[in-house]
Amino acid sequence: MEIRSRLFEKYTDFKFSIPLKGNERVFAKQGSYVKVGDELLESYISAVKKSIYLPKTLNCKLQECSKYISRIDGEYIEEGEIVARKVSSGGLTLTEVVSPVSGILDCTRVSKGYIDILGEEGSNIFKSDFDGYINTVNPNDGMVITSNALCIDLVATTKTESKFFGKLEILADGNSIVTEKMLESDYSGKIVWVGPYLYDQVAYELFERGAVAILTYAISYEEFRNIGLPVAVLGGFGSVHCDLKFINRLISLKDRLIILDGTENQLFVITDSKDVNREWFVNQYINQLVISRVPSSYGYIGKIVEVQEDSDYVFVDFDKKGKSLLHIGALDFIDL
Amino acid sequence: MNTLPILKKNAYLTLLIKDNHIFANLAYTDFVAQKTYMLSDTTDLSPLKFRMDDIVFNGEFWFEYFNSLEKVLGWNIVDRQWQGVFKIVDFQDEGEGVSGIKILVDDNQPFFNKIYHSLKEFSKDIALRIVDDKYMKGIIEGLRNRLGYEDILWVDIDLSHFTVYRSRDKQSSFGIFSKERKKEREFSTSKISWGSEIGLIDSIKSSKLQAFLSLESNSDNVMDRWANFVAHTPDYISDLNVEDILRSFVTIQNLSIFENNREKFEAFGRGNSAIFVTGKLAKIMDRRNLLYSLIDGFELEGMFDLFLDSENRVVSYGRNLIEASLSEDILVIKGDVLPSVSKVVIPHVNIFKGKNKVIFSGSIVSQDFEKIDIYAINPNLEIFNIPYKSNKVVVEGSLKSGAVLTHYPTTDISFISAHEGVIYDSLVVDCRIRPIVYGPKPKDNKIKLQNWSNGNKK
Repeated sequence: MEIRSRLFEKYTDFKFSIPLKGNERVFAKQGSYVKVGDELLESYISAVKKSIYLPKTLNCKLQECSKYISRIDGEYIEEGEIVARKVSSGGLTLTEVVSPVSGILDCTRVSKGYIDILGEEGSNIFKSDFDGYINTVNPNDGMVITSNALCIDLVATTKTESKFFGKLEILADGNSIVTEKMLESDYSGKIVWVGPYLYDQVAYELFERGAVAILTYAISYEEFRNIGLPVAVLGGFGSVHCDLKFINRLISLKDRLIILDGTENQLFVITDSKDVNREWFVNQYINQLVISRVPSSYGYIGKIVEVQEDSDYVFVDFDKKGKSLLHIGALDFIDL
Repeated sequence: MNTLPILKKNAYLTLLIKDNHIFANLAYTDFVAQKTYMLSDTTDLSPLKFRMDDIVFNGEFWFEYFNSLEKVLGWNIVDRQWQGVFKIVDFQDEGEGVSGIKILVDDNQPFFNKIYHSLKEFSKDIALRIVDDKYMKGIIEGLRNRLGYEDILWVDIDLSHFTVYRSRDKQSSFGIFSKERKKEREFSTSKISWGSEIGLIDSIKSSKLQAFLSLESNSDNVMDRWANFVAHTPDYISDLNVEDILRSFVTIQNLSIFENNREKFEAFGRGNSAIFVTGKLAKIMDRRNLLYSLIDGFELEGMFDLFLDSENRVVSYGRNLIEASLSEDILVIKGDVLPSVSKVVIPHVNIFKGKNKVIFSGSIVSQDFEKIDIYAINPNLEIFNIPYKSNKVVVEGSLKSGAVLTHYPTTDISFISAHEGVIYDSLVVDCRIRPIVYGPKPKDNKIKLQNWSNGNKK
């Protein structure tokens, strides 16, 4: 018997938390219901003028970055001043990082290897794009809300933290392979879908521009292991095909609040989707939607059109790619 | 005329939840009409592996499962009069009802508590049992008595868990001068568990595993393919790279267990011995690769029966088979519970130079077909299929060219495949020269594996 994998599974009464830093003005009251368009909170954020990735600049390990910073977190620094310094080769070599701009030094992302130089502070009103119930509001738990969500399983995450919270940003059309040149200047507070494939250089650039986490369909396994930044893989490793049917569904969720749960390997999109999931079990093969796990058609989504009697093989129609005869064990049944 | 209770028609459903799979086996018996069989189904729960601690295992899920199972098995199981309450249809006849449902949950199953409690809440009509080492000990020791084996090795191979059980009689000395001897039952367990998928993927970088590969695993492409296999664990492998990594991976796991527990494996294959193999990897691996990984991993020698139980019938109905007529649920017969079996012969080959020497020659004889002559030459691992229709099949032959089974006084080998006993589907003769040496480079392994597989001379 085959079980259907729900690529976007509807979760009702999903409980999640919007983290509070302490400088927000909260409008929503504990025990109240919020609707789409209601103002939840006003946060005060300083724009990131420049981010510096220390492991690359100082040629050091991610875990060692903080010990080379020579200024205090929150200190005002002028352009040209030294912010980090590494002495090596028994004192013979000195590597210094000079601030390219004037601003406030922010070390909150130093665990990921980044230091930020902040500019002027601005306020941002966070409006709800969902219906939900406010369970609690406190500095420890943040704003705990119950709402409906869509759950997407991940293949793997780098698990640098347990949970990441942000708005879903789609790069380009969501289906193109992105290069550094195509990036905008600021991705603060965003969890970014980069498209079918992620190159590590794009990941570094995105984090320099303030991205909270990155979503991609595929990445080389070696790069995934070495990247050391919060990256979630939705499809697989290496050159695997990312089907347009999946991308179209994902990009329709642009700008939604999402929670990336690294320990559970799940992505939750806060939305009240009207779609209803199909039943779990597959009772007959014809017309069932499947995703291929065969190297020649890995990741392609198609429909079973014919079952070979007395064998475990079926014909699958992959639209433009044509029909293929595949073993049923190399197919995952999906609900999309 | 009244029928004895054990001869009455009966049907019973057993589910085993293990390694993210549900194995369903429905046994039907009608001893008066001499009609018994077992219907099986396997459901892979891997698509739910990250959701098992969420909302998945609720009443709705289990209702849906049993509804679908009814359709797959063509058997009415659920009594739909009780809306929202799961009740079973009492057994009436073939295809209609079961006398009971038992669900066995393996203690290694991820989110064991969540699944166990969801089933407990789901229905009072279902008997729940836990499969742990104690349960397995009961099954394996019972099977030894029931099937007449002196020594049983049980190998369960899954991607994240490798478990080996062994039950045998061991001679021990006692008394002042240790002159008195007694037989003692010995049961041992050896395990390897992988905590995370990432560790499992990274394991192919280890130099130990590299020594068994026949392809260069350093390329990113190979690493990516292996990572995708671990992430999705499909039920069928269509990638030769993954097949090769899997063979090496299973060999190295078995070898690690063997090297850390040598005393637990000593003298296996010298008496009347059997190996039972279960687990997902055993199901999806090519039979030849599975044999390499078992024989080379555990450094096996001698002669034994190899049972490959991909539907987990023995775990599900082993107790019934052992208890026979005393069984409370259903009386099952060997032929329905025992999976296909191979006779494996691993002689000591005394050839130091040259190859293509005949190591074994014999024949397969039955009333159902003409005599088939078979011979095995070194350095092959030969697999001969043994046809079976309705009459007994006799396989007999002898070892040649100085090859011997060190613990047997004779070089003659013969056995019978019959419904009343054990139905053998193949004979495996390993003619490779000991010790088996892999490497040093992948291309050397590629040549060796090719040499070992030029088999089946009929």
